[in-house]
Amino acid sequence: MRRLGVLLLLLLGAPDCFSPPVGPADDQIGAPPKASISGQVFFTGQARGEVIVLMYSADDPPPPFGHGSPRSLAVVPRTRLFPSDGEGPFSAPFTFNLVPAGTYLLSALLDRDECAVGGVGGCRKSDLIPWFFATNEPNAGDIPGGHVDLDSGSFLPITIASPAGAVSATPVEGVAVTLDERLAYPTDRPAFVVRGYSDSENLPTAKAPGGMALGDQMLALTLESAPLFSGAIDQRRSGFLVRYADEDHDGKPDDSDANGLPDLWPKIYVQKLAPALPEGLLSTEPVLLAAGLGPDAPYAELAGPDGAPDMEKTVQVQSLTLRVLPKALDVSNPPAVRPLEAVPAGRYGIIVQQYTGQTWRVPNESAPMLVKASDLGLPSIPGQGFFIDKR
Amino acid sequence: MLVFIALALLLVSPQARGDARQDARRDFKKGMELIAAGQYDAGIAELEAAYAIKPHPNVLYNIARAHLDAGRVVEALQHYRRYLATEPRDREVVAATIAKLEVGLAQARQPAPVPEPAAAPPVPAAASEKRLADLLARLEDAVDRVEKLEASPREEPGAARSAPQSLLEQPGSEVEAGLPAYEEMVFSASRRAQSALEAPVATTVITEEEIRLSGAQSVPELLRRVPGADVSIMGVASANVSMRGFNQRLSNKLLVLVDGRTVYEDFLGFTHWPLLPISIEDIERIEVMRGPGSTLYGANAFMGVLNIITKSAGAGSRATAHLLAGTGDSAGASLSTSGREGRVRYRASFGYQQADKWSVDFSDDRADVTPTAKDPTLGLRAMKANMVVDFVPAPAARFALSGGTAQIFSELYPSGLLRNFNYDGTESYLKADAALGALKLKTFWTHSQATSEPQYWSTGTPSIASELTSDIVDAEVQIDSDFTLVGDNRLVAGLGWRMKRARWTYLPELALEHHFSAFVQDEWRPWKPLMIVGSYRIDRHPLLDEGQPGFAHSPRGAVLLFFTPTLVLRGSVSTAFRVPTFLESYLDLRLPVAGVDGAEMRIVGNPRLKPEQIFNLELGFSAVFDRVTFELAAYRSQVHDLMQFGALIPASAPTWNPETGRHLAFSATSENDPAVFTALGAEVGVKASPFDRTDLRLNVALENVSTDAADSEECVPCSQVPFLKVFGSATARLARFLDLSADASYVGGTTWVQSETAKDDPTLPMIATYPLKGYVVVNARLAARLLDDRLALALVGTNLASMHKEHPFGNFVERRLFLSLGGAL
Repeated sequence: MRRLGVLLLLLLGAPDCFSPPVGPADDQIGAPPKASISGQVFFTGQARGEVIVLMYSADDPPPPFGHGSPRSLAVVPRTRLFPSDGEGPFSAPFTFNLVPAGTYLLSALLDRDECAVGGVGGCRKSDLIPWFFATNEPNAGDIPGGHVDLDSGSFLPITIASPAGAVSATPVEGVAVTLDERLAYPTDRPAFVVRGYSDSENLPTAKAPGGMALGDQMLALTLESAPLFSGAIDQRRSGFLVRYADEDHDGKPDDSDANGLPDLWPKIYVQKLAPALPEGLLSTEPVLLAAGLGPDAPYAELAGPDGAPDMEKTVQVQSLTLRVLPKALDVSNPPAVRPLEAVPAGRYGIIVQQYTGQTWRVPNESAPMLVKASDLGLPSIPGQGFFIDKR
Repeated sequence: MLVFIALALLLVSPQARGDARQDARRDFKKGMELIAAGQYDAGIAELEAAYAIKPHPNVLYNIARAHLDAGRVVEALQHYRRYLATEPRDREVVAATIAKLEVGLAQARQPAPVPEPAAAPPVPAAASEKRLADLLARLEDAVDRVEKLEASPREEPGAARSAPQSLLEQPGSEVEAGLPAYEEMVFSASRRAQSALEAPVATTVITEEEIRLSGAQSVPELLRRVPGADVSIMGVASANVSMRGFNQRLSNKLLVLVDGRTVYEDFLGFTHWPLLPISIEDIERIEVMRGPGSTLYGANAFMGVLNIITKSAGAGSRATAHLLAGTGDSAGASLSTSGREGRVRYRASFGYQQADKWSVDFSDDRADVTPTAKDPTLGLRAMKANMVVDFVPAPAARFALSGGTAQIFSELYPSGLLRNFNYDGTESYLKADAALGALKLKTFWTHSQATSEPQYWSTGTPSIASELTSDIVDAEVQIDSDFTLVGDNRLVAGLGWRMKRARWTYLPELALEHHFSAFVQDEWRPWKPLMIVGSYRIDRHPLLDEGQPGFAHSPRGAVLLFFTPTLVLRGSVSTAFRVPTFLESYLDLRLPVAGVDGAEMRIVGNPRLKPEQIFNLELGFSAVFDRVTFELAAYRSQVHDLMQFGALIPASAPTWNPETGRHLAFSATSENDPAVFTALGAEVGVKASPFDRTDLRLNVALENVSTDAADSEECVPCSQVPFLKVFGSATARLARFLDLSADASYVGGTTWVQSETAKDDPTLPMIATYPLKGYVVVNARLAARLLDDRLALALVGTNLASMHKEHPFGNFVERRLFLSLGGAL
């Protein structure tokens, strides 16, 4: 029928050979041009579950290599990855669409469904929910992976190029993401409560701050591993994995703060929270308090037969002592951390990061004062609303 | 080459005729004044000039009367016979008069005292003041008579043009029956014929001549000339139209009818203009009732009612053809035929239209997004057919059967996070009408079938294409009654039922609703200068009471004070409601989050929504002078329970959806806004004819919307309404063969508020604002009328001012030129 229109155009002498111009919507939804990263997920083993592939900026890598948050995620449903029983090998495609130009890292995890492979009683189903701190990381039995060098285990960067003047960015295809069942996480995340602290269901206010006050003296807190198991939160196998830190890979324990005590995993950060309530309890600002594990850390258990530090040894403990000093650091520019003259007033939360990259933080979405307000479908768990209050 | 041919034809073209009603009205009035002054020949000449400009049966009647007053019985008889041939309701009286005249003529064949016609007492040869008083009395009588006749079927004898019938629905302007002749009549404001000055609501009429002279290609373009109309053109085939603010994508507050049949898409809640089964050339007139209209039209007549009245069966030329071509690959054609065989009249029309988009969102070599249509540049392709058959067995009885279809491919702009869609579908209808005296019956069935999906989609992302199949069946009975009880009363009452059914990919199951309604309106005239109108309607809707069947009440009261017959002050209190659409009640749509392939959002309807309500106070003033008509409307509206899809809220655990293989990130649910919105506005409209065959129109509308919400900064309807809208047009119909017209409209700046996702993290919802600058739209038309008006060649330019957007997500509206050729037999 459109030929009729063209015929009319010709009859009336008004042919038009121009295409409509490109005029994007004001939200610039298509700018800048983007491209896709696609490839296959590979796995061999008995475990079953969804595979979550996470995309990070290479400038902001994931824990334990950095503190980055994923830029995007793709899910490979188990029905697609595991068309049959057995050990495989299995593979299924994944795609990240609309990726802006840049360099990226891909990590992955198989969110294991223990119940799907004969688990009984307390078996755990796939439980990762990407949107909440309390549920967005792997637990015991989950299997890590990524687009990595299979020999060194380090990430391989992927670059989406956008040549100058090009309308489109260049897609990257054929990316392999491998998962290794042998590297399954040994424990759940380091879920904890602060001993002696009981948080309120009411949101803290200026008159009733509701946190533990930080004065001019060092604050010593006991973090106790908390086997949380309620609703969508299942951290029954939590524990602190303690081992020497060696980020410079020199075979010796680091002492980054030069206090004479070797650095240990887990690393603990006391970070300033955004001032707004209640959402502020879940948002952080780039200010840290000077904090670290106390001398009662299990250094003795980490020694080898010769008494020297055993860099490969890991000890699981159920409590740690955290010392918090009334000193603040500006970490907005990580290469040049800057001490602040005074501790900014406000609330501070505690983040514990294992050498496996698993983290836990309080306060989180299970804080009693937050669950009612946000209605996120998460349980209210006493002790998960803890914060340090500097006035 | 065609331009040269056109110019050559222009130079030899014989005579002219253009827009007529105002000119004819002036000639008529002048003629009647001359006749009243005893200058019969001059007066009759003016009446004949008026009739030549625009035939009207009552002009024949008055020419006959004038000849009779002048003692020319033979000429009087001729014109009485012509009048009788139009089948007037007073045919028996006129026939008796003719009989008497014929007897007298035959018997005497000599000058003698003229027998007195039953319907028209002879004018005594007295002073002109006496004549003038008599004339006024006759005019008033005639008005009364016409009101009672309610535009009975008439046709001009000896011509192919036959008039449409008003016993059922809205007739065309050719039967603007009554005196004073050429008075503006409306048929939608009270669901019956009445003078526009007597309408209980602010009313605007766009006539066939205005449509033709404007060069507009679509109805929304025409609506810019309605005071207070909010027209937001998104693309060549997509427009959002509202009245007095509250415009949006999927604009849902204006009820649009075609010959009384709703074309409001109940399922999505908007009017998809390309789906009208008629071409612009098929439109006889457009009547726009501004302000709440639920009291007579029920749900969704929230901010106004727009009734598109098509040319009637048997009316107009026996055959017409129009061809159009222009830039942007624009092309169109329409054909129509109309006629009568005995008591059967028919009209059939066919149309085709195509146009490229003004702009596309993405270039065609992008790898990250993929166009879903075969031709991503195509903005509209429409094929239409429509047919009406009337059977008039007796003057007081009429039966009509009509049907039509439109098959289109067009753009469609849904709301929320969605962007422009393709719409590929067909809508067809069947309609039956019957009029038996004061009883009117109407029933129709509208069936739609369509597929739709985003015009561009992220490469590799699962499609969200959908299929829709829907049906509306409607039946209505209406009865009119005139009676005297402490003054004249005109009662209109009716009952209605409507079934709506839709199966749509985005709905979890077949949705089915039955609606029932009853209405009554009485116009009470206890005193000639005073008219009081009371109206009430009750609607039963299956969800209005917290998801259970409930009732909506729509009362309206209006008082009209006539200082003179053409100077009216109107005060009104009116209400309206809008029921939730299927989309708002039943939707369950899961969308992938752009850029996060493992995430999705969910948009959910809410069957427990309360209806939107509006309460309107309005003061209006209308005046008709010799060369100027003036109208003013000032209003204060309060809108409650505005329905909207609420802000995106984060999903609650658990979020995994095994069916889609994605995690739910956030969702939005349709909800009633607890805020109350108050619109204050004023509209001024002036039409003037400073010279013969020259018309000027100027409209100015001011509006401010505010809210009682605590955070008035976030008042979406407040920032999305332009404070100032201005429309001006000028039309010159040069005496012999040229039409010149131009119009310009200005729409003030707005700020559009959209619920979106963050650019750097699409899993985080956010509220974004998009300022939109004020813009000017200019259109112009130059046309030559040739071969005794049987051929017209026109050059039309649209959007001649700078490129602009009328919505942040709409096309860049660009300039286009068209050449059109129209002919009639």
